[in-house]
Amino acid sequence: MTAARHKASAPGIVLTLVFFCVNSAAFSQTPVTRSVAYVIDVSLNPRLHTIEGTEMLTWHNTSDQSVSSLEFHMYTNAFRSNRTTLLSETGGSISRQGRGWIDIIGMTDLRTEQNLTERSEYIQPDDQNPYDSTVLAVKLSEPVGPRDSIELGIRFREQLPEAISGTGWAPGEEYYFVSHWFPKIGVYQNGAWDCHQFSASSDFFSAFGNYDVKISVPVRYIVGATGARSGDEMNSEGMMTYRYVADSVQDFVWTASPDFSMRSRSFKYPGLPKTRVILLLQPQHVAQTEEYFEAIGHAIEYFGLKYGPYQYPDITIVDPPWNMGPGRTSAANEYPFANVYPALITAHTDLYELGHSLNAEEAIICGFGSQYWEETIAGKDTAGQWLGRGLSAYSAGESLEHAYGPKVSVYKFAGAYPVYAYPVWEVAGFPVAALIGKVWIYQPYGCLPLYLRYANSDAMAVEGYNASYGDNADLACGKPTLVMATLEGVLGKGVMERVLRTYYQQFRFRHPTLQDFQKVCQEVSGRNLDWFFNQLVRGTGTVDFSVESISYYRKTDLNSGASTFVTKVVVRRRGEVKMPVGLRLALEDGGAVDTVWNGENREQVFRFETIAAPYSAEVDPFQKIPLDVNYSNNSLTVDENLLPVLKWVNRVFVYFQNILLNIGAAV
Amino acid sequence: MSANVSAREAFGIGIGRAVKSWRLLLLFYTFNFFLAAILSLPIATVFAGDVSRSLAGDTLLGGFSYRWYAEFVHANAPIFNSLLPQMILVFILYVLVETFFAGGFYSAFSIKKRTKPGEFITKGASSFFPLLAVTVIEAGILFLLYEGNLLWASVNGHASRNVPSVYAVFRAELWRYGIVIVLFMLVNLISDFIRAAVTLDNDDFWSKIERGVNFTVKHPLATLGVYLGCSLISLSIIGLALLINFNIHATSEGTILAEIGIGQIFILLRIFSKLIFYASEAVLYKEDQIEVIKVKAEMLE
Repeated sequence: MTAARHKASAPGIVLTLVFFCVNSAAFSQTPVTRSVAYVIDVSLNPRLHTIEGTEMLTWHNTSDQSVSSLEFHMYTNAFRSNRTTLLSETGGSISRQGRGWIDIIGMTDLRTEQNLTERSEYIQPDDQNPYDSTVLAVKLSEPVGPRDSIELGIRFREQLPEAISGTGWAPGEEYYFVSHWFPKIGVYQNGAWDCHQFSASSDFFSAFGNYDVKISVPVRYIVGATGARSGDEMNSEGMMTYRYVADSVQDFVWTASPDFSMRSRSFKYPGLPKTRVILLLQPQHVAQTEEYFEAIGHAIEYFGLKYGPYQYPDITIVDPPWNMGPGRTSAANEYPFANVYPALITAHTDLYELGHSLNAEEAIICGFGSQYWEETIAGKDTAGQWLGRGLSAYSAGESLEHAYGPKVSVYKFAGAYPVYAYPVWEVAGFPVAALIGKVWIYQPYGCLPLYLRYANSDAMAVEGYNASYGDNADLACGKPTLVMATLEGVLGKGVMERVLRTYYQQFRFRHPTLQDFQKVCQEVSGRNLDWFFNQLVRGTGTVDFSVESISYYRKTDLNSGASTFVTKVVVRRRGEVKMPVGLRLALEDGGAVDTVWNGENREQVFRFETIAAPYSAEVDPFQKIPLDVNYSNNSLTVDENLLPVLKWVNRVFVYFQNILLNIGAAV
Repeated sequence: MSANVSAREAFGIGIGRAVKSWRLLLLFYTFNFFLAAILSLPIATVFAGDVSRSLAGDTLLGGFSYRWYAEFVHANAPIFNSLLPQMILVFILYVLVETFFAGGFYSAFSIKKRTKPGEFITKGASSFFPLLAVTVIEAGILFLLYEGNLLWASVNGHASRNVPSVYAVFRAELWRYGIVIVLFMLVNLISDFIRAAVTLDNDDFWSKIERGVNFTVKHPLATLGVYLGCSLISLSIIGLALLINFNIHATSEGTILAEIGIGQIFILLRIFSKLIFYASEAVLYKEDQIEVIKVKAEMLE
């Protein structure tokens, strides 16, 4: 997960929802002692947009070394000035009123009662930027021995920023989305702290931990948070305190607003545990309650039956106010919640996609996919994280199609084909929306424009992949999704489902690597897939197979007089990736001959002898390789067919004629 | 005070004169066809090269392939990226030429006899700059209205709490959008009659503008009647084309040719409705102008 990702929503995908959640106690898990446990008590001051809190941290040293210093993430300090590492990298700018920071007021080693405040200093392990204070190092007077624990008492004060990078308060609204907010200890592994500064490519790598958090807000506020509410009490000063408990989660976020309308429903499907869903809706969206519940119900059932039960008993869906737009919304997939999109854009969809928009459903189901592959399983390395993205988008697409049919982008105006109407410019690069009515999009193909833009970038497994190329959201939805869809093409749908189920069962609450996933794929399918992962995940090559030529002649048997057609097809591997690909010779009589090319050579000649005349040759006829960057050259017909050209050129032409008539003087 | 001819009469005469002026219709059509071809040709060329021998073409014949579309747009990015600047240039050219035509149209449609090509060109040329000025002023006012609407919305509408959707904003603030639409129409309507005045009157520029405004104010029902009548015709043509085209599943040679035919008939009808508009306004204005001259003459006598 990257910081920059918070700022963007995938083009064409719109919605409103933040998901988060989680559990009081994860399902199917024997009680596990996590390496970290937090007991936090925090109070919100809406007038100043501040919070003050105390934190009791228990950290277990699971390594074999003594640890003499601790490192903490102080993420909110990324918004302390415009010169922090995050804002320098992203070019972001925050007004003085919108800035945010966190200060430690006191820190005590409860073993020795020693004050550690004076023994702490901000460090910049990644870029030595003196203006960045997102990592705090604390020197201990007494080391934590192997398998030993330390308890710290921390008091902190925090100024929440105006909504940015998935945290803060919404301008003009009484709405708080509070993430990355508390002093959070890094992960100690391999003899060192894995505690990086908050940068554009931050992955927020965290250990799974147990949280017990009390949140005090003005009494009229409604609160939602990671975990399950386990109690509430009225305070004397018009404040209400809510207690949330969450086990085995990577992080803890909460939201508060007096405007929320809360709905709750439990879902129980045969063979699956009960899951309670809490909706925190904007009042004007209450009428959509059933649609939201229906979507999340579909997801719980589909994922549960296909990959395994959802691991937590609760899930909360948050509908943020309309002006929490991209770049400032609460969105992050580390926590058990999904993407946030601004309500305004949802409405925009309503204008042009009357009655056909599935954007809310898509956001909910994609968010649920993130719960599975990015929250319950937390990829350890870059490749592992991108794998999570791919799995989320791929499985969410499958679920969405299963529940609602193929995704439809409906480009209609006033409910009719807008062939001769005004252009709708939202479709990138070309006013195609005005030319066609419906576009049925196989889910992974929705990522094609993004993938094509970065097809020649570094390999997904390379550390800099997410930081170096454009908008991370583009990359997140691009290649990883198509790689998963291509893997399904290689393994087959049934095997792919077994792979994902096995992977989920084996690695929930763990930090797997790409190698782990490959191992599962190989074990389940019984095939060596080095060629696949080395080329498509660890490599930079592109896939492009083409039919270069097709020619034939008629052969007549002099004895019997029977004639056959001998067809020569030349296929070419234009991309760098070598992989097996199907080849189909379609015949004039409707028949076809199929074969497989191993894709090793640059060019290969195939000869077919058939009774019927050939019609066309096509590589990858069943479109099992969505990563192929050029669909047009996958096939070649014997004869030229100008009808489709005539049809679409006419539409383009009339479209322009009509536009011109609209702009002239008079009328 | 009512106009000397009613909206209905002006409309009837306008239709008759537009029919008689079929040469102007062809002129306009040719001009429209040529500029649309300039915009379409680069896309058509790469499109033909891409799908004429690909099975993607077969898919596109019966429907649409998003996969093909995404890759096609990416592969031909330079053409698509340059489309918008090209369109802007062609639009500017289009406005300039139609401005030139407008002078000829108003002139031609204001008299009963057929206009000679020389007169058409002369009037088009002599009215060009005043007409262009009117168009620029009109565009400026419309732009301010548009921006003002957005500004108002951002201050009072979209920025209000818990706005659920643009659609909801639209519904909730229909009255505002209604006012803006009516203002748009009024500005367009008045500008049309200023254009008529600019072409048909002989005074200086500002007096012509005053004449156009006064005429509209003096004949609100007639001018509005002509305006709405012509708009209704245009909308009916668009609706009819949508309906027919919606029901055509062009996958065979015959149906594709039918779609092509419908497309061109649609364009011709739209141009025809445009000419009716020019003609009806010119008739309305000219009749009033004659009446004014008569009154002036009587007063002199």
